[in-house]
Amino acid sequence: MIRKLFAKHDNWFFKAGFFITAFMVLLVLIGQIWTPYDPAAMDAAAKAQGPSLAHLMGTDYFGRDIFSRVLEGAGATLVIAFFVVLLGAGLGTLVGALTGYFGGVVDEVLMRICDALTAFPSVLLALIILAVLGPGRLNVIGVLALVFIPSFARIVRTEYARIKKLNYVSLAKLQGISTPRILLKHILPNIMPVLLPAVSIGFNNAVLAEASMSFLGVGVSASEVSLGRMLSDSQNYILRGLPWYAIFVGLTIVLLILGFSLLGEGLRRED
Amino acid sequence: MAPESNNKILEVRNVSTSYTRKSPMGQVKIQHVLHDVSFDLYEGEALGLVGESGSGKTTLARAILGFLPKYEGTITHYSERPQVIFQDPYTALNPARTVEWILGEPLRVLGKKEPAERRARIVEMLEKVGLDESYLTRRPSQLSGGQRQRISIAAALIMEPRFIVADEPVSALDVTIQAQILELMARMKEEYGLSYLFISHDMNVVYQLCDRVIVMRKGVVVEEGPIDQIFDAPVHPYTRELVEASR
Repeated sequence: MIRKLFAKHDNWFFKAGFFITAFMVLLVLIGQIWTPYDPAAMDAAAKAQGPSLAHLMGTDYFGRDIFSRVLEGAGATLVIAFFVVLLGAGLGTLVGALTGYFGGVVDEVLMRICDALTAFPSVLLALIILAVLGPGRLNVIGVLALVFIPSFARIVRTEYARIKKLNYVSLAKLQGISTPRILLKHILPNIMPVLLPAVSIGFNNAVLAEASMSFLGVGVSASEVSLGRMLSDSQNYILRGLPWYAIFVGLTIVLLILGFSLLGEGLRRED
Repeated sequence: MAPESNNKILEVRNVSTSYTRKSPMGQVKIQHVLHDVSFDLYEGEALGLVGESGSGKTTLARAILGFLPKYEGTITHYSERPQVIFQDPYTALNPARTVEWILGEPLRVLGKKEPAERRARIVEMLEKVGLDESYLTRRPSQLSGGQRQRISIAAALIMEPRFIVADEPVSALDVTIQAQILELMARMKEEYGLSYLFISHDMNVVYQLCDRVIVMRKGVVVEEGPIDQIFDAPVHPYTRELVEASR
């Protein structure tokens, strides 16, 4: 199956992105079942150590194993990113399909709402809403999904507006095929080449946005772990001459984003 | 020439459309696309609709197919919904789907739920248009222009219509392929007792398939008659021009 995938997207961006993403996802999946130490277990004897064989990424001031915490945190971040993209891309596609296909009043109303959402920088908007709602995983997912909708809606709308004029859609109408079926089965498969790279980049942005939110203290709540949260904690360690924490957490974020970016670029280059 | 039967398939009466254009100076100009067009189409008849680009023939086809939201006059269908064969075989077939899916789609609407039953019908249809089973899994990008047009014809015929609108169905094809497709259309007409509204800018092509011709110019019907009469003794200067050009 992988060979088939590589034959279809035969470029190095896709292959490199695929391997990095697969590696990270695998690591995170393993982290859900098994971590070298309990991510929350404190060990007074092993406080604030640098990397060693016993603690691959060192330990924090409480003697907690950073590698175990990175695995758990990356898992939380990925889960958040997954649901943000699922909801954002899903609803964005729905809005884009309806506005692009029907035009008219539906288009005017929904797209003006999208314009209003895009008028604010998305991270700023998410920050404001989160500041009101308070931190927490579900709130982060909801808010980020909301600010992600317009970008997907716009891409999908353009495609639906273009494809609805093509002859094969006219033909489907004449054949008496229902409108929902035309939207889903006739047009949707044809926008995948445009939608998939956008989803990949969306993942990327979601990871970054979650990290930024949590870094600023409005993301996941204090008791939860996430990459952004950990990056925020790690600031204190840098000033005290312990850069490992920040470096390893930062590296994890960079690898995740690099993987998704390359994947997105690889998917886009195909045509 | 008398129609092959007196059963009307289509009646077009006083159809007009226009759009208003505002010049930069603010004057409103009314542009007629179709002006008072009337004609009938009878069962088993192939009616050619000839004119240069901009004569309004494609707009008329869109109106007949129900794709034109606003026009004056009446268009009455006496058959089930018409089917269509488009000029551009590259946009007429869904590029994301296989031939089997494309031809199976109308059958699903007709309530043929059993995949085996559908497949049998599709293969039968493919053979009718000169293709075979090996085309089932192909996508439009793997087909030539002529093959695509055969699939388009199959897609139209699988609905078992009595009336097909063909909008320049061969003008995107090579001359030899043109002849094959026209021959296929003629054969299907005999076999299914179809009526065609055959739109073309090419008198030669119309001559090969049609019984009767309507000549349009700038949205107006300038001449109408049996194919031989139009060809041998054109009355209107514009018709004469078209006939001359095709010799």
